[in-house]
Amino acid sequence: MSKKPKRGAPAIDMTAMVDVAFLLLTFFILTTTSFREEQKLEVDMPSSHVDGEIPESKMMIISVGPVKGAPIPPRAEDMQIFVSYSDPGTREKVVQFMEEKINADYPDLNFRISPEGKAFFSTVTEFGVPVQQIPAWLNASFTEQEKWPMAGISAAVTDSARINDYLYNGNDLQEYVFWGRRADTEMRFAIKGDGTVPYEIIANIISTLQDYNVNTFSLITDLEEGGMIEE
Amino acid sequence: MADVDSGGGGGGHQKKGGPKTKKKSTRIDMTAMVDVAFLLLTFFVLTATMSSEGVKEMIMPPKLNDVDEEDKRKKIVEDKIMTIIVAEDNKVEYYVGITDIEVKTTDFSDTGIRKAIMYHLRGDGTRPRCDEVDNQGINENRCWDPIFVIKPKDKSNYGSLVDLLDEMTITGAPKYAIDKYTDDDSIRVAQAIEDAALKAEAGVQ
Repeated sequence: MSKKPKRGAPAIDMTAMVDVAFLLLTFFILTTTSFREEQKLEVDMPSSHVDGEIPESKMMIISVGPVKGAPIPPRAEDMQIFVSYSDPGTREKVVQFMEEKINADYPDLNFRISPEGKAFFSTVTEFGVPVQQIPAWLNASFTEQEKWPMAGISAAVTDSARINDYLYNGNDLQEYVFWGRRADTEMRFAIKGDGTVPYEIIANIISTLQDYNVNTFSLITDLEEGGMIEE
Repeated sequence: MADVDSGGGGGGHQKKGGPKTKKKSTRIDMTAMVDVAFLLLTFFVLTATMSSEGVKEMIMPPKLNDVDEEDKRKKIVEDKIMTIIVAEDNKVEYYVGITDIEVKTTDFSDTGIRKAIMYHLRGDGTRPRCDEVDNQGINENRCWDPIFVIKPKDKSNYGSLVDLLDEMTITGAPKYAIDKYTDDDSIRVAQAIEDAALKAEAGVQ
């Protein structure tokens, strides 16, 4: 270095700054347990004082909320139901069982899902596609799969004339619950509802769960601090 | 520490007294690394979800199809039961007992349903609450066993239901259940409100 005082950027010792930066970086990398999974349905959950931890695996979460761009307050017909299985392994089994069972029960339908479609399904976190549309969705090209217009699924029997015809009775949730339970016998269930959802829809979901003897389930809420009564 | 001194240590083939090689400490320009570090840091800071979600365990009674089981349910002493109906617009209606009821309407404010729940939890004040005493050796009739039945109307908000369940948590209600709001319920409530109005009219005259 010349003794002549040079103009220009003075050399700053960045050691400490770099240390701190990497320390913080390490902290955040390690504490970020899982990225918030992509949510297809935005749900503004009501708050409560219960703080239990949501198990990260062996869960099936049923989300209910108003469609994007719905008027405020949303009407009952704006509500959509989406489901998600927490484990990729479960998703793989679900799609496998689905194909086998429907092919056995409805051989004319030619309900086939390509291996690529199955692989894609195991990466899908939240979806709202009725069972009948599953092959069309999963056999589509990747860009189409990603942009598939999901309108949610139904949790109530809409066609009572075909009540025993599980593929056509209108209640899609019951199939997803059934296959979810078959894929993972220890599957637990949670309802993640928007505060504005009419109870009727929640009652339909609960009723569908109880049809499969799922009498224990969780309601996911936002945590609210304070306000507890202490005696 | 920020500078990596690559000149130190020397190679095995370089010996003292050899041709003078000027030891150069190589300064590494860390700007890019720092940039990347901060970029990643910003990313993780922003994506880290600090919000905590809670989870509420619910246990439903199994669906009843049997007439006998329905009868069993009726045998529970009526006065223990407080029925809370979740109505539209974040309102709640409640009454104690099953026959000869007095229906009141309130909301989720601090002096609203919480007060009513606390009052029912206390009972007549002469008996300890069953869940608070050691059950062994105490006759069931000697302790107070309050039960809450929550009946949300079809058009009520799910949010109100969660609010009410949360009231149960806050007040520490030991036994509560969600039941269906049936046509019978709406007839019973309408009848009770009508009776109360008639009584009030008679009182005025």
